[in-house]
Formats: sequence, structure tokens, C-alpha cells
Amino acid sequence: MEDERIVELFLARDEAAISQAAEKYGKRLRSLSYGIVSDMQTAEECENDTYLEAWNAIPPHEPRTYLYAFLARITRHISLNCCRDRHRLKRDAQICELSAEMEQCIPHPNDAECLMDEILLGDAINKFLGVLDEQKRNIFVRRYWYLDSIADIAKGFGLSEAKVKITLFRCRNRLRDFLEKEGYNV
Amino acid sequence: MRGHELLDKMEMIDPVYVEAASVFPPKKQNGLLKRCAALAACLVLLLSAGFGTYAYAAEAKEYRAAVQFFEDYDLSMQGLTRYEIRMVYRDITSKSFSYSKTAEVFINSISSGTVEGCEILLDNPTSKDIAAFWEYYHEKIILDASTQSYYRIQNEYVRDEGYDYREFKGSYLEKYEGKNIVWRSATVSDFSIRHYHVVSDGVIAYGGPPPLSPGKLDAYASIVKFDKNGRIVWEKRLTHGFEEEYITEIVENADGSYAVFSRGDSKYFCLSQYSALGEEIHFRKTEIGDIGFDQVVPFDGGYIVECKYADSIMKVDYEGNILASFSYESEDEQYLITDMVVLNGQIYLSTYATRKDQNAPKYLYELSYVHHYAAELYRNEGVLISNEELTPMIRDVYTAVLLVCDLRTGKVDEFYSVPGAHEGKLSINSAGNLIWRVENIMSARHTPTRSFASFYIMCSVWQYTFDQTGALIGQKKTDEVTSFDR
Repeated sequence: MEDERIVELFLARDEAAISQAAEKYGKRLRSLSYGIVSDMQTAEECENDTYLEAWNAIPPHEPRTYLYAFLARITRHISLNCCRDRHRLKRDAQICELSAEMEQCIPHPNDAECLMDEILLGDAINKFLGVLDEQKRNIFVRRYWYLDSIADIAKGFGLSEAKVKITLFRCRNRLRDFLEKEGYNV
Repeated sequence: MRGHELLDKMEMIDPVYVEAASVFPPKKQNGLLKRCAALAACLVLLLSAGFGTYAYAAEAKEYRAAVQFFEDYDLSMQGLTRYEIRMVYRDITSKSFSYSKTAEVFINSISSGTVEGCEILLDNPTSKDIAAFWEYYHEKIILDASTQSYYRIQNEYVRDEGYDYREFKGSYLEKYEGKNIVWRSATVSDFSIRHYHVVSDGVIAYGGPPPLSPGKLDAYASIVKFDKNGRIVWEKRLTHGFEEEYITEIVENADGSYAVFSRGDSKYFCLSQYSALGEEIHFRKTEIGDIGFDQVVPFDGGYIVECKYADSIMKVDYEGNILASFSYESEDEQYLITDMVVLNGQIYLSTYATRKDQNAPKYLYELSYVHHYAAELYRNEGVLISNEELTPMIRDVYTAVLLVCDLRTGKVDEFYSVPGAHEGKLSINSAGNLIWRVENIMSARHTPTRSFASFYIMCSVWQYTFDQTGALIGQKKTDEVTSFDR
């Protein structure tokens, strides 16, 4: 079924919306969640929670042209929280690693105040991604949105792990410089 | 804000980007590949076409003709004003080549084309390979030191006690075989030897003012010819009227005369022809702007000159006229030419490719991000990056590439690339086959306490043989080992 039609079902409060969304995107969402939580049962729970969240969020949202991204964002958010709440040691270590990498992008990480609101930060990140070439952008998104491991990204793009590491290192530096240059106080 | 919060905020990445990254790209095929979608070569000058001199009274008419001319010959108008386009057009069509922007146009002119080539894959070295390599390397250094024949440049200074100043006394060459000195040349006292070439009947050396002398470092250029026993045959100082002039290369011509390539006042390309007896018999200078040049190889009809740091070469006739210039560049890689050979109507350029880095000056910091990565690791965690992690990173930066170009048009016909390899050297063996010796990176060490470089990189040399048709007919690992610093 077309995304637009599925969204119409959500808007009409038709529970078929959930089964249609699950049929079309369930596997991908479960896979995304599994990549974060590393446990299939938990991933299935996160997937189910995603449909519930989507049910509550549509309306007011109407993601007719970006339904997968909309659902995936919810899955990512739930999976990350789930991972932190349950303190899964292995996955927690990766989240810590990713958090440390993200910290390198923050011009002044020790500032107590967070002066930049979410919308501005989102705009800034997307503006930055807009200037990257396609491969670098996709590698960045796979790492920090999908939370993939370096090894998986390298395999997926047919690159060496060294190249992926260097690419991410460059991207983080560029993002930090970008935020600083643009005057964002994160 | 802390890192984990920013990680959460990444959820605000535009759905379009998220969607685009949701599927990995299809795998690339190894082996034959179309590497350089934009690998470019261009013929920028066609003297043989016999252009007439166009004289249009109306500026607009001339401008239109100039633009058409640029388009016809795929010349770049990048950064040129309307006036400059007309002037370059006039300069080329009148064959005067005296306008400074003309050379820039040559260098900037790039046309795109797809070139097919072959990727020669070498296995990544294993830890066992590396251990064996280091053991061999240490033995090799001792072995080589006892057998090699080489020359050494020496400068002599005398200390003036009263002024505590070291005054230049003279410069000479020493020839060694292993540790034994074979001869010491006569001393030249009015310039410091910086380079030398072994020629058919001796050694020709050249240089300029001594490093510690007052005044400009390149105030003048001088040449001295030694015979096979180190005696001075002749000595000359170049007198071309420049405030600064330095010699970039000297080539022995087939008739025993010498082609002396020099750069005047940082903007003139100069070629002087000297007889075997040291008499200057021809000189021509061409203003080409701030473009340095380096190695030169002769061909039947003139010389191929490498433009330093410009990914390009110039074709020059015996009189020093620039016949053509060819640029080589791809969309995301830069090619540093390390050696050249002209053979059977083709120019073979040994280069190494590194990714372009808009944040770093060209060529100077090809490993800048690896430097930053290693330095950050050292600063934050107090540990040196391991050889095991560093070596693949450095291998990933370099690819040795052999470009096979048409001598007439400069167009790249094909290429061979060796990922993980640094520069290569070219020669022709007794059977007339081309030999390409490539440095395959074996091991790299981070040495932050050294003052002049951070990485010490060791290579083993592989040899590739091409027959006279340019086909690859053999490859083998040699006993040679090399190293370089970055």
C-alpha cells in the first residue's frame, strides 16, 4: 500500500493502518531497533511501541511523503531509551562510544547552558549534511542516525574500516567547525 | 550539551537523508574499473594547425571569436576577464606566447573523459610479513651500505673567530663505493653545489649562492662540469638578467650538449642550450607565471617538463617553446607525478594519487587527517596509535597510478593502479620493456617525538614489466626496501 494511503488510515483512526505499516516497514524497523538494542525480543517490543507512538502522533503529523523516516525516527528514539534504561552492558558501551564521538562535534561541550533550541540545531545539522557529498552524508547518517558499527558501515559501502573511521573523523571535525563558524552555541 | 544529548538530537536529521541512507549502495567490482570518470587530459595548443593572426576591429567580435576558440579547444575561461580572454586568444593565435595568463589557461584547461584501467591488487601485509620485513630491512641496510656507489655533496666553511661567523670556502663532490672514497672533486669557490647528474663523460653539478651567505638564496645559478675523475672541465654562471634564477634540471642531449632548465624571477620558464664545451648556444625565456617545474625527460622533438604541484606537464621543443600543456586530475583525487618516461609514442607518468582535501594545502598534508586522528588519540588517551591500526589507514590514503598518455595529444589512454602503494620509478630495460617499480606500503609507525615528521613508513618494492605495446607482462616482489617520512 502507498504511504499516503497508510497515513490516511492513521488519520481516519483505522487500526488497519498499523497492520499495513507493519507489513510494509516492520522488518526494517525491527532491524533498525535490533542494531541498537542487540536483542530480538526487545527489538520487537520497540517496533510495537513505534506503532503505538505513531498512532498517537498522526494526527497532528501527516507524514505522507516520509512515512518510513517518521516511523524509523520513533523506533530509534524508543530503542535508544530502552537501551539506556536497561543498561545493557554491550550496547551501552557502543552508545557511550557514539556519545563520545558526538561530543567531538560540540564546540564548547562543558557549557552548562544549552542555548540552542532543537529546531535551530536540527536546521544546523541538516544544513551541514547538505554540504557533504552523498557518500560521506550516508556514512554519517548510518553511524549517527542508524547507529551502525564501523564494521557494518565498511561492509555496506565496500570500504575499509580505516576509510570509514577517517571519513567520520573528518565529518565530526567539519560539523564542529561548522557549528562554531555559524555561531551556534550548542 | 553533552555527546549523548547530541546523539539523541541526530533524530532530527532530515527524513530525506535518512531515507537515502536506508539502503547500502551496490558493491563495486574489483579488477577492471572505470576509475577516473573525470580523469582529465587536454591538449591546449595545436601549433601545427597554422592559426592565422586575427585582427578584428570590433572588440565584441574579437571576444566572440575568442570564446569560440576557447570552446573549440576546450580551454578554460575560469577566472579570466573579458579582456584577458581576448589577450590569451591573441597570444595563442599569434604564436607569441608572451602573455602571462596564457600559461595559466593551459594549466587550468581540463576536459573530462572516462578512462579505463586496471587495478593491480596486492594483499595487505600480515603481521608475519611485517615481522619478516623488519628483520630483512635491518640486514639490508648493512648490506647496501657496503656495496653501493654514490656521490656526496660537501660544503666547506671557515670560522671567522673575530665575528663568530662561518664563511663559505667552497663546495665539492665526493664519490664513494660503499664506505670507501673513490675521489674528491676540485673545489668550486663561488657557488654551493646543490644537485648533480652523472653524465656520459663525468658529472655535471649545479647550484647557487651558499646557504649562509647574505642576500637572496637564488640570486644566481651556476654550473660546473667534472670529468670522470672529479677534475673541473668547465664552469659557468648563468647571466640572463634576472634578479633571481635557479636551475631546476639539466638534461644531457644525444649529441653530448646540455639542456639547462631554469626559472627566472619566479615567473619565467627558461631553457638554455649549452655545448659539450660549456658555451651557451641558445636561450629562450617564456613568462608562465607562478608555476614551478621539476623533472624533465627528453623525447624525439624536445622535452617533457613536469609542472610542480600542478598535476600537469608541458611539452617543450629544443628551442624552449612551450608546444602544449596537459593536466591530469580527477574529481576527488590529486596526482603527484614522481617519474616520467617517453617510449614508443607514449608518455608514461608514474604518479601517486591521494584524496583531495579542501581543508589542506595541496600535497603538503596528504596525511593531515591521519595526523589529527593519531595526535588526538595521543593527546586524549596518552597512547600512540598502534602500527596495526596506522598501517591500513596510511595504505588507504595512497594509490600508485601509472598513467599511459598519448605523446601527441596528452590524452590518457589507460592507467594501472596499485592501492596501498606510494610512488613508483620508471626505467627501460635492455629488451626495451618498461619497468615500473612501485613502493608497496608495509608498515607505518607513529613517532611523535621526532621533530620533522610524525610517521615513518616502510615499503617493499614491487616491479611491474610492460612490453613495447604497453601490455602488463609481469609482476614480482623485489628485494628492495624503501622508506619515507610524513
